[in-house]
Amino acid sequence: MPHEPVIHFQRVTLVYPNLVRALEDVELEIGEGEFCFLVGPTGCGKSSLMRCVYMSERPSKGHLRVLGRDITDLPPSRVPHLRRRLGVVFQDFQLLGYKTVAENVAFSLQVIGAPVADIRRKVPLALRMVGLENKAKMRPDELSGGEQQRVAIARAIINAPPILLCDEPTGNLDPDTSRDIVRLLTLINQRGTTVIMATHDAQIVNSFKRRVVYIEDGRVMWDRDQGEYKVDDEKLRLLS
Amino acid sequence: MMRSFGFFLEETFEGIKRHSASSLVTFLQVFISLFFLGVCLIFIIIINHFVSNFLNNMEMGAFLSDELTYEQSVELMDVVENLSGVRAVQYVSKEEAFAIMQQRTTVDIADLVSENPLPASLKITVINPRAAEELAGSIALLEGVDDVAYGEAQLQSILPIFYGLEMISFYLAIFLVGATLITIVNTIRLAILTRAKEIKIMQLVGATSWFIRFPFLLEGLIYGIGGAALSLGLVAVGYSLLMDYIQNNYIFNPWMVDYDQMMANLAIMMFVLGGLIGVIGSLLAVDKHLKSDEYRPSLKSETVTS
Ligand SMILES: Nc1ncnc2c1ncn2[C@@H]1O[C@H](COP(=O)(O)OP(=O)(O)OP(=O)(O)O)[C@@H](O)[C@H]1O
Ligand SMILES: [Mg+2]
Repeated sequence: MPHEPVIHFQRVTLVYPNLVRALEDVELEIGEGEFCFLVGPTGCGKSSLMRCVYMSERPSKGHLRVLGRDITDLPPSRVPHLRRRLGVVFQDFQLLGYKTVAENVAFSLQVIGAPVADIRRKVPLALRMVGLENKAKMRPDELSGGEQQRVAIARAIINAPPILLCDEPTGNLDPDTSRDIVRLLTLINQRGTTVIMATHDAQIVNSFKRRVVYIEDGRVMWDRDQGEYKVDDEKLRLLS
Repeated sequence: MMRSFGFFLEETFEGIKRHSASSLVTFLQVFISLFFLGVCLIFIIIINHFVSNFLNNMEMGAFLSDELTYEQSVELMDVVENLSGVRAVQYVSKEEAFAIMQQRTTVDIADLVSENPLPASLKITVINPRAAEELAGSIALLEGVDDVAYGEAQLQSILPIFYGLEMISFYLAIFLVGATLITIVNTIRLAILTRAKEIKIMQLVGATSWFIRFPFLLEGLIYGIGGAALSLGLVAVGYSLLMDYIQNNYIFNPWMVDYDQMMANLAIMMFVLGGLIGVIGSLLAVDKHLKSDEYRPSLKSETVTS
């Protein structure tokens, strides 16, 4: 039986209220268990594409299917339930400074009304997964950037979501730490989670040899398995 | 939802702590507004009580001449009873009049007078107090009637003043409710701003909008109910002092509503109003915020964390 893709953009166009056309006729399928880099020059629409998936924006045209369901016209009251099945990670971690590492991770379970026993069981598991089991009681400002991003990842995966969306997760990190973070993401991917990561980092993209989707001006320009991504190409295009 | 109640309480108090100065100011403002609201309500209750007592039980006394025999008095009663505008007539003998007088005062009046100076009378309850004056005139013309008195006659003319006062209290009460509501809306709006990041994260990980609203509803409720409780206490003390003062200085006290009954009425009104204002105020504030970016947690990389 052929598997339906977990994310399927069907000729999606996204126009912002200020009439910026962030996505133009995007056709994209991402299958279950894939690891996919999203690359392209700044402002090309990578974040916009992800926002459509976690429903921070709705396509202006076309259809978007996520986890086997057309979410183009999903009523607002159903949006939270979709989001519980997605993990999202950002460049700037989005941690609460006054809460400890464990509390930050627990927060995402508390606010969906999870039972206390569930929270007690899952938080240490998630922290062990990201290698922070010994720093559970620390606060974010006592951690390095890479460690803070691990906390954000732990929070994103605590409900074992089928899809993990990472928008430039290494944007604030040095090369070695970035590599560690992406290695962690591939580990999570190996356990069955579909991972999509937007990035500018050509070195990372080229050394991990995964599927690469290149976007420019809101269009998917090319899409290759084990693709290479040359920043030079991008610069040349921008100069001309 | 209920198993998360502890979590809600924690979040609510964490939030209040973070904007504690404005929380305190709000609490005081709500307290003061509700205190004046309580005073207005007391005023309204008293006026209502008094006016309705007055209107429903307006009585006229037709004092009978001492020469009248009992049979003649009964005949007269029949005549009065058949006059239009009369609801009921009751015969009050000299002795009864004396007993009633004695009941109404703490002084032993038997010590003051050698013989009963009070005349026998007919106690007449009227149907329409507004027509009382005319009726009194025609009863006074009847044979055997010495005099007609309706002590409240003057009150009839000041009734519009009462209505006016009641109206003013009512509008003042509405104004105070509105002012309290605005105070709470503004404070909850501030509370939302100080928790903008939490709200975004909550939206992102899939919290329902009711889950996001709840801590703010709780905060509004705390202001409303807390303010109501505190101002109710103050009003209760003030009212009991007033009651004491009046009881010690005036023998007759037709004005005051029974203390317990007054406080029970007031407590219900204040808690219901306070609670409603709190809940509605925070709902207004939260809904405005959620509507402004309904399920659009625009977590962009520009918002770098500290
Ligand atoms: N909320 C918004 N309202 C209006 N225009 C927007 C909004 N967000 C993004 N845009 C515009 O849409 C286009 C695509 O933006 P997007 O953030 O998706 O790019 P990106 O590929 O993520 O860029 P970067 O690599 O710099 O993160 C840009 O031209 C941007 O200015
Ligand atoms: Mg971006």
